[in-house]
Amino acid sequence: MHDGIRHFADRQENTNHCPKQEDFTSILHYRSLYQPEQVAYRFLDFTTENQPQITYAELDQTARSIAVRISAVIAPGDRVLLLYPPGLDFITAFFGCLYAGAIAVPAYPPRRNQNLLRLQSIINNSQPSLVLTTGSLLTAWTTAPELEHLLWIATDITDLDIAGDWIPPQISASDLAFLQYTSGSTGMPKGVMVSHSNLMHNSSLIHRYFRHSPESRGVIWLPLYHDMGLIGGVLQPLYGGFPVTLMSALDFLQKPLRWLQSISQEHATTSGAPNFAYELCVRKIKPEQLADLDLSSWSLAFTGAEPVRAETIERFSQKFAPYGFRKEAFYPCYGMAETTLIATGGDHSRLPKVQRVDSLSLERHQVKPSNHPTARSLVSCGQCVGQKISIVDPQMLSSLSQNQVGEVWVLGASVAHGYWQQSALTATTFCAYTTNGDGPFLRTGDLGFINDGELYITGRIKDVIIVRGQNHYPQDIELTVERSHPALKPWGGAAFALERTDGERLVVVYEVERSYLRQLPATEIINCIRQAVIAEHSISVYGVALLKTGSIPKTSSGKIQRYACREGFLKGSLSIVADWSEDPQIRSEFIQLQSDVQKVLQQLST
Amino acid sequence: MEIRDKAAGLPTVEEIRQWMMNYVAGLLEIQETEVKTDVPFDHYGLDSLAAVGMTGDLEEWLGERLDPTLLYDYPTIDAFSSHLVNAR
Repeated sequence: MHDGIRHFADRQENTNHCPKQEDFTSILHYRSLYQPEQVAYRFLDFTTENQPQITYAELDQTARSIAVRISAVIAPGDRVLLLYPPGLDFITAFFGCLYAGAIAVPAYPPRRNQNLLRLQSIINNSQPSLVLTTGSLLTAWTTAPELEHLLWIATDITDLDIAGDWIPPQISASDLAFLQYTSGSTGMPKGVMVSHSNLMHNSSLIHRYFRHSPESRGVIWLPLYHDMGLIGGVLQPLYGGFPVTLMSALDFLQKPLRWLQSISQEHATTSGAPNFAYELCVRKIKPEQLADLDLSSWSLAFTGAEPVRAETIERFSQKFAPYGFRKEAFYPCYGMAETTLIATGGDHSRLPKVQRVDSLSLERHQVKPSNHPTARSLVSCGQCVGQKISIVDPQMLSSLSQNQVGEVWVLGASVAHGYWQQSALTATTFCAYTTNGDGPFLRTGDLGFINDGELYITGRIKDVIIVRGQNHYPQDIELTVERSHPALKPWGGAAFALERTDGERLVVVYEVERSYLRQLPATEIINCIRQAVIAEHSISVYGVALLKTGSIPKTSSGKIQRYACREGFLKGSLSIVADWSEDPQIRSEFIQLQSDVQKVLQQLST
Repeated sequence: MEIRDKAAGLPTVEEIRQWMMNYVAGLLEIQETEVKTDVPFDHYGLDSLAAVGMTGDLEEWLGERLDPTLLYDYPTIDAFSSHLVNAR
């Protein structure tokens, strides 16, 4: 079925004289033999000011030792949960799993006092035989009642002498390398099954799209349990045979300047992050901090994982141009865990294409070029090379033509094998066919169109809210809201995102119980909602509207219509009894005023 | 941001508290008197991104490294400022 695609994957580029390899265990082993002293990974620890690094030979030896240790307690194909703070220990453990033929399950190590719900749902779904971690975290967590039944091993102190006992596992291309848990709702964790052949295919795509070479230099602060950090930041440098400097996401968030300083110091050529990170640099970095910054080596600044904004590209380029940053370096791309990582990417040699389209037509799924000030700027996510992208009507399942907005469907060798232990969800998401019988496609849930061979993303079918590259499910947030105050009516609300120039922001509308209407403690309720959402989801609420009992838009079967709630909120047509927002412009009085003005203008023009 | 006069010696708990109250008030556009120093940051609308960013700016002012994960263990202005002074 994928003959053309396989042909493309076979034509691998020059990966530093590394002959064609079947999988990442053979790539690492090869590099350890022929480039033993070359630094593979360096980690910048801003707390201890240490800069530990590891060569290919050291990494191979440590991974072999870890593989020998864990092979004593697990069988190939078993899942192994990886819980690590940012650093090189995660990387050695990850390769240790591959070397043992195990399926790695990278996860976010929770903090003390943080609830373990998400981790527990990953554990329940993946059923790991073993947890790997560091010695200090081991003592901290094995006492948690939810985690104590698991078998734990700390890998940061490993006897390297046993490396010689390693027996390479029998790996076939379709074997799973790891499960990438996406931020699915806690009730239904989605562990994307990524095989060795997926990894090889997608790594060859990234290598080709990004024009990586042995001369490339990377800097990455993205979390390593995240697809962008793991495949882009850890596997791609190994694939291309170039060094990468890693740092913790918290250290970046604490001082965004550290990211740019590291690029400057390492003379990095390739680095990137979701849109919000560029925006944060624009907002937080002060001109007086920039004196010694030299960004002229940075030839590829990838941006993906959340909508790419033309305004951000513009602002970032302007601010950092005096320090050698070139706007052409911006590289918008599109992808997701379900496509291993990358699905489309631009032409490296020119500026990202931007189209201005009429926003009202776009809501009706039509693409109409416009130069009106209210037009929406859409950044091209580039072309699909070596795989197939179709735009499909999400209801009729018929293929659409150029400039028609529909769901983005992907077919190719980078499309993962499905969601672990979720066969129904896997069938509907990964095995879709168009009315012409083309398939099997991955349904991405994203809406977009193709123009001149390039993909533009316009929105999403699903109600997922993306804040700072993290997916949040409205159902989860609604549940949190509902539990935050007894005045809120169960099943009586909706959470949705509003587009703002700096990204998506969360709005919550909720009905209040009739008994509370006469003397509504509005401020108290709104504060409870805001606190609960921040505490459980780490995102701040941008706006809250409390609605009259029984007034929220519902379908005939009684389901809340989130889309209609959002529309009603923007038009000012909801029955609001009290509201609050960080931005006074979206409070109801203002929206009412705005919609009154709009009506008058409409009457005048007809 | 103003740089602290190093010659004046290490800041006291009260000075750090004052700096943090001032910072939070500016960020949330509220009066300094409205900032509750014994209530966790996330209870008055400061999300984790803003709180981690605050430790970065506080680092600049203090001229010393602050581990951002301290916020998880000392999540109020009172707890954070006294920890910084006690840890010296």
